Amino acid sequence: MNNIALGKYIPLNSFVHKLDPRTKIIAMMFLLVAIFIPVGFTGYGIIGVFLIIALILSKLSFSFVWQSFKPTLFMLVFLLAINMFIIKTGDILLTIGTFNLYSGAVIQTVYIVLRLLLMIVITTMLTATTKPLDLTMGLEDLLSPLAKLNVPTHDIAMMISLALRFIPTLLEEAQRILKAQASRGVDMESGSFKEKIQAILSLIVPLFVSSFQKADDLADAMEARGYVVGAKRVRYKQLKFTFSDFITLVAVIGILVGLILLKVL
Amino acid sequence: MSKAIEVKNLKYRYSDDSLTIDDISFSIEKGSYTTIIGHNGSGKSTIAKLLLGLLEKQSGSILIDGIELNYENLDQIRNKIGIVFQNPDNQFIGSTVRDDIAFGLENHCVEREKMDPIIESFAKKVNMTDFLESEPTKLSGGQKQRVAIASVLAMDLKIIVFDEATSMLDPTGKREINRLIKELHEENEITIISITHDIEEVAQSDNVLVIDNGRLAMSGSPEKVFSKEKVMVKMKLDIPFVYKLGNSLRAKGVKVSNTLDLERMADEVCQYILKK
Repeated sequence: MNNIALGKYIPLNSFVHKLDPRTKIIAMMFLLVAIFIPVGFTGYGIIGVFLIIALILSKLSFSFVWQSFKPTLFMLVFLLAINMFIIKTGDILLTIGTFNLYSGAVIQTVYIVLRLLLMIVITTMLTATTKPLDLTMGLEDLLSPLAKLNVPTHDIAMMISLALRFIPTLLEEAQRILKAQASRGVDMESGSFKEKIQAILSLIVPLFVSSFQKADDLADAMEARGYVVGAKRVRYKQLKFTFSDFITLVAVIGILVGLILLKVL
Repeated sequence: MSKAIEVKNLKYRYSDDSLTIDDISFSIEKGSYTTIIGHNGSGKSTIAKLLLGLLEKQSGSILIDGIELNYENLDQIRNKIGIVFQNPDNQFIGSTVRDDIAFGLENHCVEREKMDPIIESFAKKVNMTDFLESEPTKLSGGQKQRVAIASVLAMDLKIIVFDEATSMLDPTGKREINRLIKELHEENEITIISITHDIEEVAQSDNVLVIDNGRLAMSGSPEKVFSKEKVMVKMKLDIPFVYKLGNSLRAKGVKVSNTLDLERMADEVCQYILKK
């Protein structure tokens, strides 16, 4: 579980880590839009340079980003294979028997690879440099206009942050149950498929029961400390929009507008 | 002294048919330290939840600091009474110690600028200043319970209920928490109600309520309650060793006083032997 780089927070102290989560979410959305403006390699080049600068500023290692990119490699080979047979534009690069490889197929595949690579770098940078809770808080703030439409943004944010808070606790619990069941002779590793399913059930059922117990206790604890669903409360943690946020947003908007102009002109 | 809590003819039943709380009445003095004991399933924790309004009473009345508890004034009640539960994990709401202490303050709409000093002073009180940014998984059970206590204290309450707050802790954690409770009681004017199985803790309280089968079986000072050894054993409750010893000695005609102090007991026994 630990080698999955996608979505994992890396605690470092960098320029990007210190940015307001709201800035990072907005920047991510703008950049994702920018990727889909078809201006060819110039566009990818501009976004790429920006991301490399950001990556250096974030102090994340290139190998970390590469790790999150690896799972998609298989898909890319698959895409190339399909493109080779379907796209028949551009010059013929190679002829094997009756099969012709067109330059259009190669260029299209490279486009897809680049787009995916850029998207993965962007999202990885967001999740790797922002604590899940800060991300929730940023989302809550950005969604706050929806509260006027009676969307319970506070409650949703509270639910997400509680879920995040209880992930390690539930993992611990699962490990404890696993050990307890193993000591009673449950074999999780070997056996037929059917036996494995049964073994997993012996983990899931107690885990469910204890989760409900925990939820009950937690609700009592929250209520006892004065939490009322939907009531007005003061938020302790505040997000701060600083000068570096301003610069980042200007840069991102600059890229987006620039690419649109390139396309139009 | 006025009463912190007055309970009259309280009754409660869960969905099954027998009464979990069967006509209980008691009152607790302001600033006192009361322990509630009783074997498992006697209804102790139900009483705690009823006092906090987490369960709705079916009949009878509960007065908290002179205010009758009902569903309209729950927020007012919860400005006066707080609770520390048994399971350290399930009452840790924030993602760090700092956030957890802030949670109650957020609910009570304390001004943001005032939160930091409050959080820091109560973290200091429970000796958790070095762990303010720590996540709950990195803390021991005793540390988590201390955070829970700080969170409750930060809300500036008059009455704190401890619902078997030490029962899931190791002996060191248990001793720490017991010492902290005693300190709080002595330094501040906080009324403490502690539901417990820990006989040593009962001995340090002012007042004991013994609950058996949903009824109030006995109440009074620890000395008074412990002197009724036979009744206690019948209710599957233990009494401290010194008391057992004293009771057996008196039964044999040795005149020793009703004390919890082992040293004193030893002195008295020695004196008795010398006089003989």
